[in-house]
Amino acid sequence: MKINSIIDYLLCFLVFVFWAILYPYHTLFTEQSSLFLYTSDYWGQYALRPEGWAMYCGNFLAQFYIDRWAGALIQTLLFATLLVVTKRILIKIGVKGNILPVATLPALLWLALQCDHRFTPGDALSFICPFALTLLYMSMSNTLLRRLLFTLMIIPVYLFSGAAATCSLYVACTLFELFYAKDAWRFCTPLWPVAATFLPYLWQKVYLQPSDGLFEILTYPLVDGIKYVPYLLLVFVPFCILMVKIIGTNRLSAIAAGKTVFAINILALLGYGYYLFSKTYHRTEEQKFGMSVATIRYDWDKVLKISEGVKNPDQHTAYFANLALAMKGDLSQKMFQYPQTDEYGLFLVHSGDHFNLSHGSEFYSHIGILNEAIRWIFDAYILRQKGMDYHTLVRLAVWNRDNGYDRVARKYFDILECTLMYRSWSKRQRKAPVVEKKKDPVQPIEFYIGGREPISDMARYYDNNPQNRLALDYMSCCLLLKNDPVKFLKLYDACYPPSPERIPQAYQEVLLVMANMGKINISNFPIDKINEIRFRSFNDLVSKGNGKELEKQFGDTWWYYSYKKRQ
Amino acid sequence: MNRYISLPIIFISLLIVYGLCGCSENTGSAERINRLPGIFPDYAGVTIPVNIAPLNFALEDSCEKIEVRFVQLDQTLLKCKGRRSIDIPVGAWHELLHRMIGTDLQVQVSAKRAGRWYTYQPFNIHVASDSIDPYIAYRLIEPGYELWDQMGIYQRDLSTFDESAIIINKLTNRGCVNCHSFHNYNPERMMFHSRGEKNGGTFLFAGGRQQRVNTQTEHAPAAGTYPMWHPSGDYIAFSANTTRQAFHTLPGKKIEVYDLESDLVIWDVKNNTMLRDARFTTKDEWETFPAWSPDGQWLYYCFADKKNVPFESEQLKYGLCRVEFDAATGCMGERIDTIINPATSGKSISFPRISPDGQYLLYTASAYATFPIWHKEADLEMLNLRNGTTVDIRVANSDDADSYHSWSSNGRWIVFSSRRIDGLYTRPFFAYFDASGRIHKPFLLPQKYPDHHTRLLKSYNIPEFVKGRVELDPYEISRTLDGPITSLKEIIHEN
Repeated sequence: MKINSIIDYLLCFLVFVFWAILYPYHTLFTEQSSLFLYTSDYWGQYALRPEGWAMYCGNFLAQFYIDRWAGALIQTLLFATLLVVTKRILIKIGVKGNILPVATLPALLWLALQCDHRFTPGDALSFICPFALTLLYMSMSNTLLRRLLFTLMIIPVYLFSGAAATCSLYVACTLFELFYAKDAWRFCTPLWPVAATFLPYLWQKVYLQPSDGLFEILTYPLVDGIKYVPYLLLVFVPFCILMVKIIGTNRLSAIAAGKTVFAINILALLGYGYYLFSKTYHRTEEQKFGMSVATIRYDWDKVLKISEGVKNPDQHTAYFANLALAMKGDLSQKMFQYPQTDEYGLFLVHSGDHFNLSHGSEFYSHIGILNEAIRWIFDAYILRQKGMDYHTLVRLAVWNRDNGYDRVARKYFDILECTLMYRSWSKRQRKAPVVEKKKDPVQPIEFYIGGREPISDMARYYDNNPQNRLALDYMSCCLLLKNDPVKFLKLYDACYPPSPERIPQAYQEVLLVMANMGKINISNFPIDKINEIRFRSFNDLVSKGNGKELEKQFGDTWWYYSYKKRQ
Repeated sequence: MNRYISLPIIFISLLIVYGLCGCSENTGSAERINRLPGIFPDYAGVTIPVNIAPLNFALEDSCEKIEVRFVQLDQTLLKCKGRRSIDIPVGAWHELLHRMIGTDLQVQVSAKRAGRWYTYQPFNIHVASDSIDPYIAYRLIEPGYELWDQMGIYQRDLSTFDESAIIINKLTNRGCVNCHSFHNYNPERMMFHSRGEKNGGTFLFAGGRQQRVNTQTEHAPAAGTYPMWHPSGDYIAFSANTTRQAFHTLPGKKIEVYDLESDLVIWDVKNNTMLRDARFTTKDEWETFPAWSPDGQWLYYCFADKKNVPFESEQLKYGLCRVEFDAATGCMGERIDTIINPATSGKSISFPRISPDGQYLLYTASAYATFPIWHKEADLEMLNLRNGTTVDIRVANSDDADSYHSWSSNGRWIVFSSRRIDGLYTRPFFAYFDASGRIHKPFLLPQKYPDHHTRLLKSYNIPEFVKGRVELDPYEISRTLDGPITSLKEIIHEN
């Protein structure tokens, strides 16, 4: 086996490992954020849309990402396709031997784009398309046939991969014709790129779209360091054709014979690969997606396990961990064992952020305000701009059903039954018996939600549903995160009747502080002896100003959280 | 004959014979089912205009095939087949309807299950002699809360399934486009609002000219909101509403849309002035949903006393008044009549619409407040303006919100938006209002694929009849909305 082939196999294996082991939640999150329906209506949405065919095929592939291994396999196959196609193109234009590792460059660039969760499988396909079609073009020996075919294909190519990729393909084909064909008709081929440039303007009559976005490659900004990657991908083949022509195949063969060139190539690729990896691999984001997927699946242990590995906590990671703790009944007991930010780590903000809205809805569903959960998830779907996804549909179907909105739930179940992966689930859920809710002794009272701070909404909700311990826990913990022990004490006095049961850890810590301030008599509360001893140690360390030791010994306490907040 | 040629010929012949056998499946010996078929949309017993698109429908019961015969006096005039739904050819359908004007068309539905055919009880569709306006215009938008993304104002040819965009917000920087309104059903005189920092304003198309206008004047609480063209075309009455939303926690109710303030203003289109009458700009009384009488001499509007909303929303009930209007001067007169007093009706009135002959007033009545589409109890009601009696139109209503409505230009049809299908996504329904003042069972806007209504994740807002196709180029509208904006001079009448 040649060394070039070994490199290719090794790369593909690494890519598989990358998606399956290092970035699995990214793939699972992509699946949750996509939707593919087996209906003619659904195809109708994409049929006339530039890049629509790639989106359609991409969404088709994304449905299999529900399994991390299948997702990794598909990503690897696409990577391998691009790798092989690029290599073949380079061989066709006369690049051989030790220069061939350069063929891995587009696949690496493409992989870098894939690391951004906004880069959809459809986007990925639209970038592969011009490479694959360039190879097809170069492989067709019948000049007339290939010219005729590619003239006819200009609209389908545009519909598959969009304006920029179409221009890239036809520039490559034109250069190939000009440099490699012999007949006089080859001078007509520059009409292709011209046609590809004007086609989007003509297509505006068929499919309404604003003029300033006709040649847009990606609709979102890329991070620094990979900003120009889409352009590099699109100019790669035309650039190679030009370079080969300028350098000349004979000289190129001479260069390709040198072992040094091979070594330089490999080193350059390794270096560039590392650079791309460092720019695009986001561990925190991957962990966030992991917690998101686990939350969607109600796998609370998994959420907490991922949360333990979070180095740079933010409101999202804190929110997932707190929700998981709450669902396990451990919020007030263990919350400071997990990274905390502020009170918005309990309730996300209803803002213009899709992630906030999409996942913030989970809290309201678990606490029992399904109207609000539906509002959040619905707003998330609208903000997403790409239409409905599996996650939203599933949540809307179940929450509407549980909230008594049976007919609209049926509509969502109907749509889910047009999918492959959720069809049988939907049929089961649709038939699931509605759980009779226990009649509360106190009838819930209506109030308007969302116009004030979340803790005020919780207070109103708790007033109307005093049996809802989750609401009380959230309120209490919110006051701890707001670093307001005085209000906490008032709430504690009002809502926690004396009980022989152990007081949760976080509350004990606050009560000790309040006792220290002379606000309460600690003997009235069943406080653990160990906590009293630890509190004294904590105060000693504070007076010594030993921050590192404080964090080491008391990083998992409210005392430390409060101490840091005050600083 | 060469056996390589003869074998395929035999095979194809067998296929043809098999196909013919399949096509001529005999439903005549089908077993009778003693009930009406459950079909979606429900077209049983409806009255339709002669120029409506084919009423394609699907059988709700599971089946392998269905066959539908359109019959008159035991003679089958049209036969359609399908797997679960039928797709009636447009040409044949229109021929059929023209033959059946003024009579009942009997529909016989047969279904094949487990290899056996079953025939349901037939139902009738009455073909009215009154035609319907050829187009409706509506907005398609997700029935969301505060946010929106993709939306557009569309037009639909009612005799076919053709739908095209008048404007989509992708062309207006994703701003909100809303409240489209036509002057006397004329596709060449229309307006709508566009919201957004860059493209905000009111789009006006009249006299072949497009312009973007700022209807927000110095003393108005907001820009023009709910519009209504004066029959002369010289004025557009607006309510200027400061609108907010609140969200319910308990199931059954979702959103309360309310106004913090609302006034009546009139845009003099010819002179580009905004006329305000001091009586209708007070902060303690709110006026909204203006509507002109067909002779242009009266301006109807809803009114309510100020309340502490949203907390007192349930005490907020809008009544209906009318005020004289002099089109020559643009001034409102002294006389104000109360048409519906909320204290006696106990209901809240929205969207008053007077029939083209001036005899009937159609409006939406809800339990309280001002935005009935979020009120499950909202229903259409009708008043005979000549004798002051109410007209029984319960047949048009449902258990869900039945709300925004318009009269056709001949006054024989109404279109209204209703949430009766799934309780959330509004769909346009049409109902026949015959010469004797009786309303008939409404029918859903026909679609080529009946499932379209169940899968579409957008609501139909503000269905309005139009007498023809709006020929405006969406890009041209977009350029107008990108262009300079005309400000209106405010004139305040102290009455």
